[in-house]
Amino acid sequence: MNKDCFVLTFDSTHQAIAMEKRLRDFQPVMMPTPRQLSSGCGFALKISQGEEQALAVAVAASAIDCRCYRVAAGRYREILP
Amino acid sequence: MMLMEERRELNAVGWECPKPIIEAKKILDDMAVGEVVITTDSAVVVHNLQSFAQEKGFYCEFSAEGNMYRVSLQKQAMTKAETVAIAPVIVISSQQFGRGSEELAANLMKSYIYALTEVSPQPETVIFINSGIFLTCQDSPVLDSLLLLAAQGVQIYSCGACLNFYDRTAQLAVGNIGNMYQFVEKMNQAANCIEIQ
Repeated sequence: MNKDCFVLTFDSTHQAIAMEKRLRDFQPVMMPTPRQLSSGCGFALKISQGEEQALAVAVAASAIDCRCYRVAAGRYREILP
Repeated sequence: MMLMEERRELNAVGWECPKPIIEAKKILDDMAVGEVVITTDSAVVVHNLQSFAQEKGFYCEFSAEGNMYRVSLQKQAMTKAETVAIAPVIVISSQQFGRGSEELAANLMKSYIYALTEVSPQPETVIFINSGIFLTCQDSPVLDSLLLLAAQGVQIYSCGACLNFYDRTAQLAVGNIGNMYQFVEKMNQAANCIEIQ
């Protein structure tokens, strides 16, 4: 996880799977929930492309609950409510 | 090579976390084998040093005298087995990971193969057999992760008979085609062989 990217985490695997389908345009990669993020269902989505604003719009439009982090230099910063 | 055992003192009286842990870590990182003794007046620091030691595999003991604590963190020489983990040969014999919900199993496989790109040691070889070969072909949901593994030097083989059976030979998108003799040899010679089915 060295390159800057976004990581989404979820309370439920069903949310993760549904979000993967909703965010196809962002080419999400299904990954295990990173160890640094203690909470989560086990699946997370890694998104290496796209702008934060566009992602925020797509996440909001999905109406699927998640936490979104920007990852830079190995550090996670939560960016969306 | 003989390793000199060092013993260092760290006076952390009045310090709050995380400073004592950071400073202790710096000292331990610098020594191959040895001990750092931290003096602190904070029970929270003692607790956090114990957690830090447990996480990093350091031996930890402490003594209390009045309001002062002395915490000893000891770094032992690692055995060869600990320092040189054995790169496994991994055999993936299904498009999915485990039995149960197909949707879950497909996503577990994606998650597993993604994790392979990030953990150490990386596999020496990954062999795809039976429906596992769909993962190495065009339109595979894990193609990017497999291309990354290949670029990192992991050998990736898909079973030629399986590609032929499923009529996917022309769609192979990562790694090489292998045959059962190669696979048997690699599995037999592997010190660590893992099958994912």
